[in-house]
Amino acid sequence: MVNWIQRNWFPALTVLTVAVVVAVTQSLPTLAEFPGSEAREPREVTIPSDRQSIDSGQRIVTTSCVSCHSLRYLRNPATQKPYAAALTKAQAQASFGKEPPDLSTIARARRGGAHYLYSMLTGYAADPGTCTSSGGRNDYFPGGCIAMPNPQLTNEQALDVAAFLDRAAEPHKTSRIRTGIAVMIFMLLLTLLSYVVYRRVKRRILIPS
Amino acid sequence: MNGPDKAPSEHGRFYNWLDRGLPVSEFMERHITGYPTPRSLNYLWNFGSLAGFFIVLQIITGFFLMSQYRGDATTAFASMQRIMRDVDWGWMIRDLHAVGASFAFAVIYAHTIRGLWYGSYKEPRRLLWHIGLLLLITTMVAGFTGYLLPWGQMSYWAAQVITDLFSAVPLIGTALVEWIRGGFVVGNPTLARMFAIHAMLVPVLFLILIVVHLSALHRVGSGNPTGIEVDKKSGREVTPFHPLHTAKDAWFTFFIFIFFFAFVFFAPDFFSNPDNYTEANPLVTPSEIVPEWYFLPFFAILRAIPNKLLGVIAFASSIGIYFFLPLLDRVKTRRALRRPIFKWMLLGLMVDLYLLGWVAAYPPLGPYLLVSRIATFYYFAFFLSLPLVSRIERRMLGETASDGGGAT
Repeated sequence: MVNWIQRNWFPALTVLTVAVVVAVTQSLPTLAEFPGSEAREPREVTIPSDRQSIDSGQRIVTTSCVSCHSLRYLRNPATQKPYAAALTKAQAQASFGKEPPDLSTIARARRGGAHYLYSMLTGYAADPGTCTSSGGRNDYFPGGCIAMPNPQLTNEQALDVAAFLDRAAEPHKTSRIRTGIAVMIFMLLLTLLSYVVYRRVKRRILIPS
Repeated sequence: MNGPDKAPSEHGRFYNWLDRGLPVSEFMERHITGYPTPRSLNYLWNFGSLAGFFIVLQIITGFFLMSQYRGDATTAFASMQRIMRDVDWGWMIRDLHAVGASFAFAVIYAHTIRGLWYGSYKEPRRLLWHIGLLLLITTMVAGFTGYLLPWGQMSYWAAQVITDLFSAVPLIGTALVEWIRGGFVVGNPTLARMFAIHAMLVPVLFLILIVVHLSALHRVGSGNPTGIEVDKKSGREVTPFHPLHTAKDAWFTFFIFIFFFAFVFFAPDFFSNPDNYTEANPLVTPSEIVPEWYFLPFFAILRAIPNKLLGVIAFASSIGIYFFLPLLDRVKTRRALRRPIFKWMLLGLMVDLYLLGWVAAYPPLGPYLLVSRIATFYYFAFFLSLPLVSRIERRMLGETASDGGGAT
């Protein structure tokens, strides 16, 4: 044993290092468990992508949510102007202690995207008295205490809002995925073809005729 | 028009006219159809040309982005939103450029690691290595300056943190930071100069350095996995670059682009921080300021050291030390696999870089700080122990002081 270690001390040390690295990276707490940012992982649900859900989500957002939140990069079809929040910054500050975020990019601006939005909207819980924020306890919101009061959405409404905000943050999502499928088919064929060419060239060069 | 009776070696009238005025066929013969390339090259040798393709892609997509982007603090974020929402195919150009940056770093890092593993920094390729490091630094400048342009929260605060590093310089620190930023904090002047560097200086530097890098490469010839220099006259050892390596580069490039397009079209936000979809706000600091993945290991080194000035010196040295690698490593054997100690040390460095990158995504507290310090220690110990390790290895490998550059 001693002899073996003397001969193989460096590989043994390297293997040991890798083992320690794996053990350490696996055992330490993840970022979500850090004090001040504790939050539950977003719930894995299927966010609807059909027209009806998106439209229904749009109705909720542009009639209810806009009383506090703006949608700076979306145009109201009626006025051709961006949606502005009904509440002024000063009023928001007075009522909630912070300015409500703009919603036009929110689905891309939060870790977990639409899944997070759905989980947060349906994630209000009874507060055991730990929160001083105006919205109370929400386990999916980083830190656990949220300023936004519970919007009281049904499960379906929350899914529709998440679906709409997902499209609002990326209006070309459908065409991105559709283009991607065509690109993938083309690239696979091109790669296959060029690989066949390479094999033929290689054979010709290795065995000169 | 070429008739069927013409010999295939003869070119058309236009080509002949062109060739009289420009050394076209001479260039092609010297650098493509006649350039002797070792037959034994493995796929790690493809990452150099891949890096070139990604840089060209960045220049092309960058041109289209630049024609719609408005480089002013009040308009930058909104113009990026306009590109992604209203400009025809703007979303695709922007995703290609953003994911392209990550892929450029990935292939350039792979290319550099290839160089470390097969001793590409040793004579006769020392100059080639140094030029390559200048290209690596240009890539880093491109990554840093480009990241500010979308003017998101993480753009802004990353620039704030990195420019603040210069305040560690004794005596002139504060004045230096203000001079770099063009103000007390990162603001409109900073955005304007970063844009100028990113869209003007960086592409020019890239083009010049790539030409110089390739000229130096074609002067000394490609290395190869065996680590033994090839006989450039021997048809058994070398083959012209075209058609074998053009065909190999072509298929492998398409292969890597499958993965690239998979990210672009199915996970464009995979490499980016969600905070960057919130417009920069100098009054709100994000809970965690983290750089893009390609800077994480160096950022971890910076944060591992408690003293600011020493941290900055370590940060700069962690990249600068590669310039001294040919001096530190005195072993003539090029291929790491032949070296009894170095191969394990180098594998350890790969693990170490991964660990540094992993730990940089966490706040520098408790166990994370400890891990980052041990990893930082190993990083520098790797380089600083090389003179001693080389002496031991030279004895083990039977290399004598008189061994020339032609040794294995």
